[in-house]
Parts: sequence; structure tokens; C-alpha cells
Amino acid sequence: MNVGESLHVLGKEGAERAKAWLERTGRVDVNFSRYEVGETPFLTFRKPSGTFSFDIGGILRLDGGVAQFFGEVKKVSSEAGQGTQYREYLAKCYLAQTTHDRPYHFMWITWHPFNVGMWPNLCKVSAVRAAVEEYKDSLCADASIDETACEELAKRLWLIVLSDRQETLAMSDEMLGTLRKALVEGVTP
Amino acid sequence: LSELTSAVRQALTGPDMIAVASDVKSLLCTELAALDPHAIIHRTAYFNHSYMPDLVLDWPTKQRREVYLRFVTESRLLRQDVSRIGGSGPVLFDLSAAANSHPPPLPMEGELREVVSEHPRVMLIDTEASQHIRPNQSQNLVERMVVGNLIRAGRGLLNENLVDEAKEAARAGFEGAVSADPDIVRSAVAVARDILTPDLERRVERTLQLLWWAGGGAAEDFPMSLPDDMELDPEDTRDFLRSIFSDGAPISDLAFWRRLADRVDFEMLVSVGTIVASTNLGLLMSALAPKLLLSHVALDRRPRPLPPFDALSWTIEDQFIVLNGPDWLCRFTPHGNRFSQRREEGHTVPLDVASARTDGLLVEEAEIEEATRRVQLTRKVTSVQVRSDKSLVALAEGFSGDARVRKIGLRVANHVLTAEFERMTLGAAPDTSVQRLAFFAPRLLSASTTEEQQHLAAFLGSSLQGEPFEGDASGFSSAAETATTRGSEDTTHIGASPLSLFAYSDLASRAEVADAEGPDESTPSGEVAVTDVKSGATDEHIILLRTRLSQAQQSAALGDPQRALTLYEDALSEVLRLFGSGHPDTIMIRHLIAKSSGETGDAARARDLYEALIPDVDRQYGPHHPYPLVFRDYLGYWTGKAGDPTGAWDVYQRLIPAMERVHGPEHLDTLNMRHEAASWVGKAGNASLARDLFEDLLADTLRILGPDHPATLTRRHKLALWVGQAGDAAKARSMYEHMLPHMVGVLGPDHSETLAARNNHAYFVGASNDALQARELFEALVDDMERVYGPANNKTRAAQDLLDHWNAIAGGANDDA
Repeated sequence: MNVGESLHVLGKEGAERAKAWLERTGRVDVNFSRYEVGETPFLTFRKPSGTFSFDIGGILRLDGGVAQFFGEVKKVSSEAGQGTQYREYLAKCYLAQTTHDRPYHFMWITWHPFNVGMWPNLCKVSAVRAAVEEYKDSLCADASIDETACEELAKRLWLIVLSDRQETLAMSDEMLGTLRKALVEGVTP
Repeated sequence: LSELTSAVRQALTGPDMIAVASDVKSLLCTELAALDPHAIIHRTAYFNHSYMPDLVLDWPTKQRREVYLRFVTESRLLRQDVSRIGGSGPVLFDLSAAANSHPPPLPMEGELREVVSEHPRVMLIDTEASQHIRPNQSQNLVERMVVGNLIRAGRGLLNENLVDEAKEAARAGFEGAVSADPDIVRSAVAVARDILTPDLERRVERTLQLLWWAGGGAAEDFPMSLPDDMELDPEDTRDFLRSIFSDGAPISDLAFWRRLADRVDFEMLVSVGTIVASTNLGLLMSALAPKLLLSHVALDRRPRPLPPFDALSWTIEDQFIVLNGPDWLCRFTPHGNRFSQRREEGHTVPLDVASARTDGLLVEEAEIEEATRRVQLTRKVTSVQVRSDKSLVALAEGFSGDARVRKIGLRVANHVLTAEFERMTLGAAPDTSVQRLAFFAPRLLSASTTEEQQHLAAFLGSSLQGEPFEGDASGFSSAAETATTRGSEDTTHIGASPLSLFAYSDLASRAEVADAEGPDESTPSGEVAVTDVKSGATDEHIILLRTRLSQAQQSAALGDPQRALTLYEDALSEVLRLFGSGHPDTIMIRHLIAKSSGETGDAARARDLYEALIPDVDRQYGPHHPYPLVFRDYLGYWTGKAGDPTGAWDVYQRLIPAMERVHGPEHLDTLNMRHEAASWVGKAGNASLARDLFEDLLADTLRILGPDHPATLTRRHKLALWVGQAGDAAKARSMYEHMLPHMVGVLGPDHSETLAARNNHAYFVGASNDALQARELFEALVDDMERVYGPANNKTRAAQDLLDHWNAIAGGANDDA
């Protein structure tokens, strides 16, 4: 297995495990994964020089209503350059949101923390603004940065760190089965 | 790619995630509805969820199944799914062929099968396979049961190849069960176990067992060992019959239906409940026909040849079967199955009585041991053995004169060559002999190879005449001649005579009904055909005559008496040449010519022919036989129809004492002759005498048949008519008013006799000077007659004329007022 293949395998496994964990919360439906359906329009966005895709996408069921989300999954065991990747990801989120002008949510799901010294600020508008500024030439055709868009985006950023053991701290299949039965029958337990 | 795969692939190119999810689910809903029309499909709010189903399927049988869409299939993920959701018995619908323009290499089929089979109720099916499990009309019962239930009760891996294999196994399983092939049945059951949940797999196995049973296989030879609760019971059999009747694919193996007919009684058939008029039901009813026809025979306490097959029809009335024979009908209802002769609708016999008599007439099988020439006959209940050292003719000893043989077989070493007689009761002579069986056997062989057929043919031929049977008619000729030599060691009841062919004519049936009332030992009429056969009547002659006469009978039955007449006249010259003018067969043909002449409109010729015929009939049969009386009945009838009611009255007046002597004064036919006499004397102008005769006749009819018998009602009606015709219209009116409610209650409002009585009632109301009411009665009557008979019918038009008449008079009365 070469490096590219191994990364793909990790990415695929991460997407599957992220999907399973997210869906165990009962709040998320991961409808599509690019490892399943390939380069699909609903996970893919244009940038000035080509396209980019999120790993997963689906529905987020929040108390305030239902929202669409996209996710980037990092099944890693070290920081592994996530700081740089995260900044580029924020710029992509900004582009995706402004492209369709929709209140998308965006999730960065990783198995290892990064930029720990800056951790409290990673989802703040300053981080968004800095990322867009850094990548605006390659991702943003419009030279001006929409401050409001940055603020809105920052409100809908999710930074989730998973661990193998944490994945087990969720409802069991039996509990989910009971829940499923009740939901499918349209009866609230 | 299948249409479904292409459509899903197209849907996945949409830019809106939610719309795409909705579109894909819609496509799957449409597909599932086509695959299982009974499923009720619910969408959930989820799409490609790890734990929540995309669709939920409910069936009216309270079963439920969840459908999970999946875009990728690999054993690792599949194992996760089985672990997470296997307990719900999910259908995992694999959409990977649609999601990937360049799908990755397929995972190993064996590995997937292993994973998906870890749970007994998980099924994985893909979009390409689904198009192969759509139901269609050409699928046989088992194939439809397997394929048509896959969505509800499928399990395991079902890709395109495996679905095709399963269909083939199911298709073959059906054939294997019908032909009692254990290996094929085993294979079909094994496949069913692989792809069906245990409950449906048991149903398939049960169905194969029933097919095996109906196909003639012994229950103990069924290759699968069934648990105790798998014993056949009536409910299983009923379910099986329901399935098989609703099956659009006909089972063309007639032997199958005949065997099924042997094992299905009519009570069971009725208990099936709502009957669908399907091809398969028709085939079963056809297979039951000989049994029913024999029942009819049994009612007369003696066998007689039976009508052509076409004469039988069946209908569904109020969801129950009614069989319509040429002069009888049989109704099967939960309230009792009744067998009745049409001529005497009130006289019915419980079917079980008729069936019990039938069983006594059936020889199920005659098997001949080639080496020893030992013959074994198997009856319905008991088995008897007959030793035959020189000739198969001795086989006839094993038959009573009433018996019919269903199957003849020749045992060569351990192999049996068989010939089954599809129409054993239909074209056969009343005294069907082994010779005749032998003659037809080679043509009727159905389950043997050509070589085997030749072998059986040769054996039967050599047994008859000591030399190989070449398959043509010549072999039968000499055998027939030998057999018809009275006193010969090999004498049998064979009738080398065409008489038997028309013995089902109304003449013969009436004579036999008369015989049934009390056989006369002094008139062994059954032997007449044998003793008078002249040499020179070869079987070729007989077959030609039979063919011609059969055509004539069919023409008459189809309403073409002119063609029937021509064919009878053609046959007459040949019969005269072969047998002479006084031979029973010649007499029978002369009778049919006379009768057909009348039916084609030449009543005077019919009368003349009967006048010429009766002296020969008297010579042939003597004064105590029913035939001369029956022929005189025809003479009287056609004399009256020829415009000579006085002559008809004269014939009947002289006939009645003879009827009373031969049959007794209370015999139905004696009463019928009195009825005819009274009618003709009235038509001859003596209404008072007709009235008096009907008054006497009605009293006797009431005493013998009771108040509800159709003949009683008819005679009440006729008495009222002649009371009115004799001048007392008011009394006639009153009599009709009293009888009509009873008549409607017994016969129904649309019965022809009821309508005729209403017509006469209205007439006498008018004749009683009540034109207004007569008009009202005729108005209502014409409406009903138009509905029942149609507006162009002669009876309707006659009633319309009377309506016009009373309308004109009533109009004048109104004017006067």
C-alpha cells in the first residue's frame, strides 16, 4: 500500500466511524460520504482552480430546527499537519457558505487535537477571517472579505475530537434498536 | 444497467442533498411496489442512516420489514450492519452499482454470502437483481411463491446471478414435484432454504409436497423429512388449491389434474371459498368431469355411454361452482351439494350418494404382468386379481358390466408401461372391453417413450390375436369379430356396433331411466347389439360411423339440426347395408333422422318416419320394452306438431295403458303421457275434456310428487288454462292469482313457467272484463320478458301483442268514461 492509498483507507475508515458515531447521537444523519458515492455535486464546490469536496454531508437535527452540514474527518493519531489543513478547511467553509448563501454547519472531526495553544480560538471569527485572508487567492475569487459571513460561519463551526474509547460511550445497538423501533412506529418512548 | 440503476444514478447527480435523498427513495418505493404489490410502503425521515431504516414495509398479514439503502457493499461494513440491525430482519438494498460510475471490483460473492447469512433474516439485494424478481404471468406456482415473496421473506445474498439460479431451481422444483423426481425437489428445497426465511421456506416445501402428492407421488416417498406438524391436512390442501387456482400459469399436464381430481372431493373444493374462474380451475373441473358423468350414470343404477366432452360446461354462480351437463346439473355449495337431472329439477340426490355409487364403478388400474400374463385390477376400495392364461380377454371377467378402467399398464420386469385413458367414459362403449382398451392404448400412451409405446402396443396386439399389433385398425377387426361370437370361450360384452355411440340420446336415456325403475329380466336388451351383428362390419366401418354420428350429435348440440340430419342420413345407408333395417343401430339412426326432420321444421315428415319405424321397433324389442313406448311418444308429439292434434290425442290415448302396464301408473313418464294427452285433446278443441283430464292428473301428481315439484306447478298452470279455455275466465283468473305466489317462490320470478303463467293470468284478467288491470299486468310482464328473453323473442312479442290489444281496449274504456 503506498502513501496515497493508506491515506485513503484512513479517510474512509474515519468517515465511516464518524458517521456511525454522529448517528448514534440521534441528532445527525450522514446522508452521503464521498467514499461511498464519489465526487457528488452535493459534497463538491467550485473554487477558482477546480473543485473541492467535503468528506461527509447530511442533516443536523438541532433544537432550533434542521440544518444541512458538511464534515471533514481526520482519522489521525498525531497532529499531522492539521493546523494548516484546518485553516484551509475554514477558507473552504467560507467559500461553500457564500457560494450558496445558506446557513450550512461545518464539522471538523479529528482523532487527535492540534494547535492546542490556540484551541479556544479555533472556532472564533478571528480564525475564520485569518484563514480566508490566507487562502483568498486560491479559494476566493472575490478579493474583499465579507465580515458578516465570517461571523455567521463562526457560529456554525463544530470542532469535535473523537477517540477510540469515546466511540464506545454511546448508546448500545440494543438501545438504538429500541429507539429505532419506537421512532419507526411513530411512537415516542 | 437496469432501468432502476440508471434512474438512481441519474438522481444522484442532483445538487440538492435533500432533494436527491427524496428522489432516490421515491425510485425505490416504485420498485418495491412493483416487486411486491401487497406491501404497504412507508418512508422514514432518514436516508442512508447507519441505524434507522429508509423505508418500512408492512403487509396486511401484520408482517413488517425495514429497508436500508446502502451505497457501498463490502464484507466489513456488511458485518457491521448485520450486527447493528440484523435483529430487525432488514432488507439491505445495495445501490453501489448506481453510485459508482466505475464501481470497484466486486467483493467476493462467497464472502458476502457468508456474512449476510450470519443472521437468518437479513437479505442483501442490489438494483440489478431486483429487475429479475419482478412477478410475471409465465412463472409457475413455486417460482412465483419463491420470487414473489423475496421482499417479504427473502434472506441471504441475492445478486443477479443468484436470483436467476433461485428462479431456475424453483421452476424446476415445480416440475420435479409434479413428476415426483426426488433429486430436483431436494435441490429446489435447498435453494429455498438459502434465500427464504424459515417460515416461507417451509411453505415452499409444503407446496412441493402437495404438488408431489397431486402429481401422483406417494407421500412417504417425498424426499424431505418433514416435522410432525408438516403432515398434510385439509387446511393445507385448501391453501394449495387456492394458490393453484389463482395461478395465472396453467399446468398443462392433464395427468396431474386427473390425479388431483382423484384426491379432491367436492366438499373440499367448495370449502376453498371464493373461486376464481381460472384456467387451472377449468382444468381441474375437466378432470373431474368423468367422475361426475359417472355419478350421473350411477344415479340410473347402470352405466351408459356419456356425452361428448364439449357437452359439459362449468360456471361460477355466487362464488360457487355449478357444472352443467347435457341433461343434468350439479351445484356445489356449503349448504349441500346437489346433483339433479334437468328434466326433473325437483328431484335431486346428495352428491355423496352419487359419488359412492361412482366409486363402485371405477376400476382404477389394470396391470398385466408380461411374463405371466397375470392381470391385477385395482378398484377404488379393494383390489382383485384375475388370472389370464391365454388372452387378455379374460381380463374382462374382472370387470362387472358396469365398470370403467382408468389406466392399463404392462409390467415388464420391474418397469411398468402405462396408458391412461383421458376420455375413458366419453367415447367408450358401454361395455368397454379389454380389446377396446388395447385398441386405443397405443394412442393414449402419455408417459412412455415411443419404444415403450410400441412394446405395449405389440404386447396388447399379440395377446389379442397372436401376432404383433401394427397400430392400425386391422388388428382390432378380427379381435372384435372373435369377441362377438356368442358362446366362444373369449366372448365378452364388446359391442362392435355404433349403437353405443348414441346411447346417450334422449331416447336411450329415457329408456334407461325406465329400466332403472325395475329391470325386466325377460328383456335382456343389452345383448341385442351383440347377437345381431353381421359379419363384414369391420372396426373401420364402425369407426367411420362413430365419427360421423359424433359429428352429427355435435351439430345438433350446437343448434344445427339441418347438418345433423344430413350426417344421420349419410350414416343410415351404411348402417342399412351393414345391419339391415331392423337392427337396433339402424333403428336408432332412423329415430334420429325422424327427430331431426321435425326439429328442422318438417313435422309431417317426422310423423311419417315414426309411423314407418314403429313396426320395426315393435318387432325388435317386443311389447314390454320401453323403446316402443318412447317411439310412440315421439309419434304423438310430431303428429300434433304436424297440425293434427286429434291424431296426437289418439296416439297418446292408446299409449297410456301400455305405459301403465310397462312402467306402472305412478311412473313419471306415465304421468307425462297423460299430460300430453290432455294437452292435445284441448288443442283439438275439447277444452272441457282437457280441463277434466288435467284435474285428475293434478290430483295424482300432487299425491306422487308433492306440491313443490315443477311438474305439479306446471299442471296447476295447465288446469287453470283449460278452465279458462272451457269458458270460466273468472275462475281461471282466480286460480292463477292463487298459484302465482307459490310458483314465484318455488321456481323464481324469471322462470319460463312463471312468466307463462303470468301471461295467462293477465289474459284471463282481460277476459274477465278488466282491461285496465290486464294492461297493467301485461306492461309489467313485457318489461320482465324483455329483460329475461330479449325484445325480439317470440314470447315477448306475443305478450307485446296482447298488451297492445288490451291497451286499445282499456284506452277505449277510458274514453267511454
